[in-house]
Amino acid sequence: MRRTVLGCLGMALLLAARLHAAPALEPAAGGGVALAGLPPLFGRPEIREQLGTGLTTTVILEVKAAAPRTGTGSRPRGGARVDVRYELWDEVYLVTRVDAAGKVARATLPSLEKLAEWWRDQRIVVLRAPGLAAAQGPWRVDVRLRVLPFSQAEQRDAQRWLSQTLSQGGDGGSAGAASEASKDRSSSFDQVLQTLLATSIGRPALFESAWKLSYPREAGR
Amino acid sequence: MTWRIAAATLGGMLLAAAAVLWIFERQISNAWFRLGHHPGTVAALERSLADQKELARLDPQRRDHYRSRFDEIQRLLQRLRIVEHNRAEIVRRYEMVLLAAVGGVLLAAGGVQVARQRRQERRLQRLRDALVALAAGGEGLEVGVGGRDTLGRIAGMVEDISRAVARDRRRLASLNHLSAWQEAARRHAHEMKTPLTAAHLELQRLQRDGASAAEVRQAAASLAEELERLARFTRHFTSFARLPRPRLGEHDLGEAVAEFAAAFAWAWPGLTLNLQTSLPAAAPVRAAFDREMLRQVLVNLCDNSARALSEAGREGNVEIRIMETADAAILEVADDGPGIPPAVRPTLFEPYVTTRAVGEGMGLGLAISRKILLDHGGDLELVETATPGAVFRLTLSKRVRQGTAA
Repeated sequence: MRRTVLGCLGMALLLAARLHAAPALEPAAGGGVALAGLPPLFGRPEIREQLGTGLTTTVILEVKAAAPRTGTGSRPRGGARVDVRYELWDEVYLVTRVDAAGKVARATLPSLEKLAEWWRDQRIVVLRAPGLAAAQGPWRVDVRLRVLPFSQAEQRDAQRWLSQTLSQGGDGGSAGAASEASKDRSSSFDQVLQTLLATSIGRPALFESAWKLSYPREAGR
Repeated sequence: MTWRIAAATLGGMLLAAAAVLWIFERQISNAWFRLGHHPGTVAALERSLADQKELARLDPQRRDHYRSRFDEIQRLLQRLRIVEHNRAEIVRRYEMVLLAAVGGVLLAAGGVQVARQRRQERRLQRLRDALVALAAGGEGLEVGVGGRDTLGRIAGMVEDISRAVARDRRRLASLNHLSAWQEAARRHAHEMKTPLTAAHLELQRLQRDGASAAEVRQAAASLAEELERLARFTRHFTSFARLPRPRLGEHDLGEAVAEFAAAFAWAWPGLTLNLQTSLPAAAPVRAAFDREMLRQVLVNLCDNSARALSEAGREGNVEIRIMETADAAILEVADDGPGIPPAVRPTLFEPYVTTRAVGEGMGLGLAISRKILLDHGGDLELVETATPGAVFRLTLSKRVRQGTAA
């Protein structure tokens, strides 16, 4: 029993250490910079639970680069997005990846384990800055990762549905004639209230992490 | 102060409303939110999703139908989860909207209350002014405070009272007028009747047979005396009716009074005239007056004092004090006699008012004296004092003013 508890604790510490382990920036084809060695997000319970809802879990990567020695000049920015949606009917994970070059890649994965493997092997282009490597000295690159619980489209749909539900108190499934009729009936105060409440639906992050990296990687780091 | 009270009241109302709102929201509306997102609902929808899949497996021919239902349920479930995900923010905004609405209503109510309060204060001020005017003898007042509330009714009462007062005052004035005329007629009749009766008796005596020459001469002398008495009465009456306008000049008041004291010191046996001044001798007090008319006033006042002392059966003093203010010269004529009876004081300067018996005087002296002083642009007043005796104050302008000079 004691061994089991200790084993669980060790696993948890290992997972936490891996989760906070910094990814690495690597040169990519075409003069870009890619991010590899991403932390194992899909092992986190809140993200696994969120994936099970069938909503589109979105991973946003934001990257800002700066030359620390000069402190001036261009500050390239970039990023990438990965949408993961569990298709409840077919019980597969539909993944869409959009990198900094605008390249879209799609994948269908049969299980969470396969998804975790796919994520671990990812090498995502996050910066398209051909001059980055040629600059003198290492660049300081801030990387921010956010996991959002649902997509913008789903957010808008929920806002519309909530607004319609508040206005007519019925099924807001279709935004058709019923919505128009309810607009006529509701007063301007109601409309303001509905808008205020509907727009309160945002996308608070489920998980966030940030790293300060160097590119090219300095020796010993 | 009113603004502070209004602000404190409004602040208190806002706090109370916020507290009530918070309790309401936490206990009621948030409870409804929780009810709408009951975990059982989500669990039932999840079971329904699984059921649709199972049904599709068991009935492959209607797979599309079950799939459609599946998608519909899934969409609803996802929307509920998104709303649940944002519950805190939705509740916060709901609270803010409610608070803003309640705050707006309270502010509007507060604004209305403040405006009402200011209107009430204006109306109260008008009412206060009207009451002051009423107390000062105002008649036919229009308060200008409308409305059917308490203030409006009070204003109506004030207007009614002022009309009643005006009516009563007119009646009283009319009665006083009649009474004054009656008194005047009584005194005139007496003044004329006495010499006429005496003259009539003398004539009867002359008509008797056998009147000696000496008796005729005596009767003629007596008749002449009575006629002179009538003439004197007529002159008195005329002097009041045709009081001349004063010929004003700027004179040294102290010098004029000293001349009077020197000239009339012998006129009233038993009366000692003293002249006092509170000013340095080197600073004469100049005033605008008609020397003869001022002398007439002083004679009247001293004559009254002498008569009062004589009736009291003793001798006494009259002091004439000279004072000045920034724009007026003042003479005070004070005696140490028995003083003026309180009942007579309010009407002391009115014609035919006298403490003497009928036939002892017309009661015109003080009326004439005051008229003279008023024509000078000054006044003659009885000064209330704690000491025995009467003190009259004559106020004169220091300079001749337009409208007072003859």
